[in-house]
Amino acid sequence: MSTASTTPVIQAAELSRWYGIVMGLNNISFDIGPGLTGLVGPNGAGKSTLIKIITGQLRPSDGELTVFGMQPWNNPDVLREIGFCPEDDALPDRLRARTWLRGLAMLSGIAPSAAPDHVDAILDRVKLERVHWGKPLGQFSKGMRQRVKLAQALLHHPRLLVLDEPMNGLDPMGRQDIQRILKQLAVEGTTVLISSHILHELEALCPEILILNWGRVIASGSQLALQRRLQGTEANLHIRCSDPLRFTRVLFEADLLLGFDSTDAGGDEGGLDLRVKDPRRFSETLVDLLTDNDIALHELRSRDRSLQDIFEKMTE
Amino acid sequence: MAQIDSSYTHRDGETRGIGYRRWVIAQATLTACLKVKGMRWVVWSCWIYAFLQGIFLFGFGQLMDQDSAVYAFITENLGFFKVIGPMFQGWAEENPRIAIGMTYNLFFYIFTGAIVSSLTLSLVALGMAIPRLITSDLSSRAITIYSSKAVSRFDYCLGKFGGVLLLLTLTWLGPTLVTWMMGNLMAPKISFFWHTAPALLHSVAFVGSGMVILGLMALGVSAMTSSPRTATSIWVGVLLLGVVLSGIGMGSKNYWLQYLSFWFDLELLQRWIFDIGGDFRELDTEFPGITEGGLFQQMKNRLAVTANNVAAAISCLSLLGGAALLTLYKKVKPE
Repeated sequence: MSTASTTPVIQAAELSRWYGIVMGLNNISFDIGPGLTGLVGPNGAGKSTLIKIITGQLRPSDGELTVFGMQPWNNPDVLREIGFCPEDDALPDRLRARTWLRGLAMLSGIAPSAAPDHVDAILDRVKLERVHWGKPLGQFSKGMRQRVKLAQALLHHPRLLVLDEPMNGLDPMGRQDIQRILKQLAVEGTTVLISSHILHELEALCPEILILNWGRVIASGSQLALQRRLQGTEANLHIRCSDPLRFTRVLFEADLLLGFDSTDAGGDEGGLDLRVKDPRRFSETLVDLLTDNDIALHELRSRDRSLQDIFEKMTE
Repeated sequence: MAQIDSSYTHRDGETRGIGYRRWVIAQATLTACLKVKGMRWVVWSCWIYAFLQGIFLFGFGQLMDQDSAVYAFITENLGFFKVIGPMFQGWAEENPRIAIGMTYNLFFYIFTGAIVSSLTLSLVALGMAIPRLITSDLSSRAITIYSSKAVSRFDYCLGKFGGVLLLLTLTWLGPTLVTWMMGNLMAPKISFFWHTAPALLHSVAFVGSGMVILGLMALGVSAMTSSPRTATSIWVGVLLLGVVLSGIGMGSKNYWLQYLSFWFDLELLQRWIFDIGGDFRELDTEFPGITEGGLFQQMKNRLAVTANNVAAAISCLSLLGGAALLTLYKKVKPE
């Protein structure tokens, strides 16, 4: 995932973690560089296990994982560089938001005199309304609790921020707020790793992704690169042309067509959803095929643009 | 509208070291404990108890002063004291080590460890505090967040232990020290300070060791479960088991059962530290035969302790402490 010009923040080499006989992570290796990275995978893929290892909550069974060059397990030197927003609802209900965060700020080494202002600034940053600051956390809605969890992760100005399902329970406005904050952090130089099952949000937020399935890394890199890689074998296209039936026959004869579906009935005149193989040959021969067969092309676009597509193809 | 909020500037100040972070945990633990309903009453009771002990020691000190109002009141109202009072005073002036030092040692032996004492109140305080030590962090899962901060498990436990020690200082060590100070400040002579210094040292040694072992036990019990009720029940169970085992073992063939009771072990430790038997031997040397028969003899028998007894008690207390540490090691983690 890293490029030659960036130093990896997180590096895993032959990393494994077992729970008894159950394999959580199976001999995975990857690098994560600076910026925003999305961690994607179905339930049981090993996302939470990986996050726990990165944040020093779990010890690897085998292999090695380093964050900023050091192993995070029970290592305060690394942990002071990491902010962690867990998926669990890990807030003490009886404490007030401001009081709890002040305690955590002091736990992060901030002087008692500086902690209140610092906490107020962070609460403003996560856009928790001031009226709620003095209320017990038990009275907070799910969305407010998510903001408090994010606030605690930001308290000590971490260089790496790890978020496990940070958008859970947030309304659309809340999601936008969090996305804006995360983008801002990335601009400031913080490495952000986000695990989420809301793929279209990760798609908009994270240029880099890491896909896990069955405890293994099945893909990692930029969304763009993964898309190109997938297109090496097949591509999903939508076209609109003057003679859709003839065009499908031509593609079939040229051994380029894997499947098609007419969208003509849905009001899309001359519309076709195509699944073609060998996209490179397709694009090289398309103009010839159209001119030779006297077919006018009105529209051509890829249907393979979403992270959802990448995810589905990688995990199928 | 700007996509990126540029108004925010992040703090980049100096951060403090691990000692400060441990202290923060200890402080937060004490604060959480003091918020438990009824805890303040227990703490106040300890200090009222200390104040009453101080008054008792004040009265004792006044008996050494012929011009004091207390001395005058007692000699007026207790006929026999008119006779023994001056004798006692004369003897005390010649033997201050015995009259003052030994008496204080005996008093503090009783004050620090008797059934109705700061020890009992401290055990009640710990019972109330246990759900707020580690149990609450486990039940709210906040331990996941704490363990992601720059604090190792050891530092977390050390901070919690510090919090328990602070609580026990409020309920046990603090009142003991204040009692001693009150007794000496209100004593008729400054020499009371050095005559009673051994009693203070014994008290600090016993209370200090007791605080460590009880603190570890409380933390261990607190880490055993994420249910506050279960944690409190386990603590009460441990206390009752101690009483029952001590009772069963006493005077039976299975006397070794007593060592499984931390009450009994603490009592043996206390006897050894205060060395009341040594005081009696010194008394015997000065006044041969004085401790044979009567109340002195009963006390001598009751407080007799051998090196083997103490070694067994310390071993059992160490095992309890070890079990508590093992529980902390196994349970204090977010996995």
